[in-house]
Amino acid sequence: MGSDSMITAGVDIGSTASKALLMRDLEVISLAIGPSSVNPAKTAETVFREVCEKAGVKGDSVDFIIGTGYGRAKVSFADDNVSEVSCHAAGAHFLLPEAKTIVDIGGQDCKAVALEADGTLKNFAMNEKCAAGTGRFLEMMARVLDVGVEDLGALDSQSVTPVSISNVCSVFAESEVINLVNDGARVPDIVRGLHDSLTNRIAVLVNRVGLREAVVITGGVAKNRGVIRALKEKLGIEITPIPDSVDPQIIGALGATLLARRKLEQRNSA
Amino acid sequence: MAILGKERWQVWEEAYESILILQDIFSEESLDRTHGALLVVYRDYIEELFRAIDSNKTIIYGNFAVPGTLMRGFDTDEVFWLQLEALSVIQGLVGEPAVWNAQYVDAAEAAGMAPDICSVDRIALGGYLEKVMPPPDAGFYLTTPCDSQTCLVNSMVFETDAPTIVVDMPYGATREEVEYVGRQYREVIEFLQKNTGLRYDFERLRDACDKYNRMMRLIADWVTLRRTKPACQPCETLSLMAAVVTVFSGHDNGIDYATETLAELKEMIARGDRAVEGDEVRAIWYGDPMWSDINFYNWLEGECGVTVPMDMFGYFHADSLIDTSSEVSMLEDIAFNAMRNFPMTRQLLGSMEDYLVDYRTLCQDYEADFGIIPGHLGCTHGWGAIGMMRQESDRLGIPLLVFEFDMLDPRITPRDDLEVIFQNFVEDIVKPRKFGS
Amino acid sequence: MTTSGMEPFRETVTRPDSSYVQAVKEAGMKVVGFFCSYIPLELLDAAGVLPYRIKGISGRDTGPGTTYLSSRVCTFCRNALTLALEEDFSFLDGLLGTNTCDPVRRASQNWTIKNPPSFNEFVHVPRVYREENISWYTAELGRLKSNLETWLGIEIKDGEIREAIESRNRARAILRELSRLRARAEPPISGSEMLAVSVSYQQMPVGDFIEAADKLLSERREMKTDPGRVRVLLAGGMLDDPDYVKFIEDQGLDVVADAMCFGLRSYADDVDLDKPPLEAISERYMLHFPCARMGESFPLRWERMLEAYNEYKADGIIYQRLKFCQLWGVDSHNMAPLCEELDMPLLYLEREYGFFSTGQLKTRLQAFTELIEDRKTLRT
Repeated sequence: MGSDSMITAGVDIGSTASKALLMRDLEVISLAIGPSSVNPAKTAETVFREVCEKAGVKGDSVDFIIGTGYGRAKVSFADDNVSEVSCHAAGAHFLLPEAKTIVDIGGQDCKAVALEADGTLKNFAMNEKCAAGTGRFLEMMARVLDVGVEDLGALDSQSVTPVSISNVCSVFAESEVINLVNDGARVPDIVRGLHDSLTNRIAVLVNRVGLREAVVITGGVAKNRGVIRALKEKLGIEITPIPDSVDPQIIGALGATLLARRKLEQRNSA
Repeated sequence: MAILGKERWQVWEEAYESILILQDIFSEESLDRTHGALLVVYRDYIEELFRAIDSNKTIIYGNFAVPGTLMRGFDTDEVFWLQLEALSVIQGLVGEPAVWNAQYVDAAEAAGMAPDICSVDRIALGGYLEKVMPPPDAGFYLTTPCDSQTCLVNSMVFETDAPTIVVDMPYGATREEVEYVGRQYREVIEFLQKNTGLRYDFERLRDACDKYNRMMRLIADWVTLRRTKPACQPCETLSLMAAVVTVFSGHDNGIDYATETLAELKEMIARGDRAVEGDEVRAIWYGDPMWSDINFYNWLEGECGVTVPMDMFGYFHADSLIDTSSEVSMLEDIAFNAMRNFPMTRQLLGSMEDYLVDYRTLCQDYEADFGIIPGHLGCTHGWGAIGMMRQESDRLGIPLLVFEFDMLDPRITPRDDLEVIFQNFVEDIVKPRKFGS
Repeated sequence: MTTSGMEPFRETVTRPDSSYVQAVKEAGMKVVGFFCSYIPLELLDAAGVLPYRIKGISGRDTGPGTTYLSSRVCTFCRNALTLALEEDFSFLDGLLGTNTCDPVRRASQNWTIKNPPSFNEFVHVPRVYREENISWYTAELGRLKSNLETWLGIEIKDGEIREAIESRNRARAILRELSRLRARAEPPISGSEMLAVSVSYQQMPVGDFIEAADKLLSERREMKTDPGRVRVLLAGGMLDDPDYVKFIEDQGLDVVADAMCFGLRSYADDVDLDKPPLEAISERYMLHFPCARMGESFPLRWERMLEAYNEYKADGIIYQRLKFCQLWGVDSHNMAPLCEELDMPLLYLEREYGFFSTGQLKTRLQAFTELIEDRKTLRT
């Protein structure tokens, strides 16, 4: 392949969205995001093709490819696959080397990850059993309140008298929200209560792995200012934001790309 | 608000303040003797706790089933026995369980306690972790009524590192089993003396046993009089009898409370007061009470027309008084009481028949129109008997309402849902059977 | 890489009425079921019955068991009770119910009410270890012995109990030797195989077991295998299913050690032959590598787990627990700060009996493997 430059790729096949990222050495040269289909193998091929086209790079000139996410075993062209836990850790560490606790709030699951100083895993805790504490909880509630998910952050800041949502289960919380609306509670107040409820569940997970600064939120919900506010209050700690220019959804793919580089280095030095 | 002139932990202050406010309210309604007495004893408890801290008394932790009477052989000027569940019960009654108890549940789970352990024990541990209790100098626990109590022991021993002794409670209550527990109580006394430097005095124990007996005779009358039909005394405070008995056995407060609630019941009977206006429906609440929302019982009577003449937590027996003639007789009778007279242990620790027989008796003696199995999530031996309980209920021809909830954490099944569950069952099944459609 | 020596054990864990059970029934011997590692096998051996530890069957629908026990108790109990009600245990002549934990107590009670075997006894095992409690257990075992004698119309002599103790000590010694092979860098026996063997120890006639285990030991002593990526100690509550262990091992983690009741805890300790037999048995069973059902047991359990961890050179601990298993839900709280202090990787897994959600489990196991590998390669 000629020069010392290495091209690595990360392909993150999630349950709702799939992402691919290309780096030349430590510089991101392209990224692609698309919806996941029922066929993870096909989705992987599609998103990988797209990210290569965007970078003007041929697929077979990529030196090392790592698959991650729920469909990682189906990324047939990958050289290896790594758990999304390790990839999120590596990605977050690259963007924010001081990160020690990652809170990943995905569409259908949530996890808390504790990192060592070098970005490797120290501990992790996951919840995929139910919607409480995930993006789906907020989607359901946004639908009931007839607002966009993207508006939830702004609505949170407009709350005057926050409402407390007593249900831990999202299915029951939905009925509770409907009742609140019928009783005349204001939407911003309800939204604030929902964010508080979501972060209660997440905080238990975070405390189990050990809360250490700096705390970073990743995943689709990370840009929701209301969630950030609630988590800050609940944990009693500042949340370090991901740089604005970075879409938090790509952190898994970013981490996979970095780990691809590390594995390549290890292989070459062996 | 300060307690005994000093600022304390916020949560205790809030509970204390609530009690004082309620006492003001109830002092105007001089007829409500039970509530009045309840507030007095809980206020005393809080003041006693902080007096103990101020004067550096020895603190001994224990669980719900520890016999208060036994502990009073120690000098209360030197020792405070802290029942770990007391705060969660008090908070449930006068405070906001959705805030306080919920906070301790979360703290315990964040520290790694499994969420399917009974909330009573997660709250006790969580409260300890949140530092709302003074640290213990020693611990004394019984392995009853359930597995979760062993969970509490194993976590508290780890957290507190205080010298601890645990008494094993056997399956039944034969002569040998009573002696076994009696012997273990003696070991407890020796252990606590050795590890705290305090002296145990069997004369003090004798006094406490006399007080227990006096209290128990009053309670026995109250248990009998609550059969009155239609019911005169509301059921809101019914389950609290267990809470008071556990903490105040062998103490004047226990006698006072029993005196007041019995007197109130008699007055109400004499006046012809009614717990339910109009046609009443009678239910046996056979299990953990709704301590997460004690007002639910008022709703039940007011809106649903249902009263609970007797439940598991109020059901004490007069046949188990304490023979004070010797040390051994006192220890063994306290043991027998713990095994056969105490709610939950009596029904749930042993055989299936133990569990079913009281239900049968209560339905009959109190003329129940239906039975309620309050399915507290952590109560695995209650749930584990559900099949047999349904069969028993069928055999008795009595409708059975089974529902899921948590006795201290109101977030599990919200009040609105509980109302719907009860309303539907009572309207659709019980009332048509009782009154015709 | 399996060997023929595994066959007897494979058979035993696959079907309740194994060929060994059938053989003893044909010979006119009785079979007595029990639930718990605190029940002494030796006493049943001496009575001339086959002690049979109740194990579930993965994947069975637990409808009947759930009807009696509700869905609020662990899936193992529901599975076991279902099997009892559906006659999968019809070969049992007797059942010893125990207060192992509340759900097992209820399962055994429902069983003896709904489908009672001809002999059933309830054994109360104390939850604490003082001399007083051990004496109580000795008396309880004496009572059990008398009842067995009445049922069988025999007398159980001390000499017979002693013989049984010798056999079981011998069996346990072989188990320990087999287990210790896993301390090697290239373990010649896998964790799932070891579990199948130790489950069989609690279901096979002891003579047959010793013969089969000896054969397996000689097959494996010189064997070499390819090791996995990392080595783990598997701890936690009730686990009788080698397939679960195999699933873990298929992801590249070698289960080189365990601290579970169907595993190491049932064979780590022997009965003292120098004491009067019932007392010796009572003592050994009360004091063996403890279950979380025992009050104040954590310090001893932790100490012995650490011993195993070091002896078998594990890289991390996997702690698994059935959902709704309350008693085993405390170690996760106690162990967290200790593992942190010792920089010992700990993975906590919840499971349901007989089913595992493979995607979620794979992710956790893979992340845990990566965590350990990074520790080993990057930070040593």
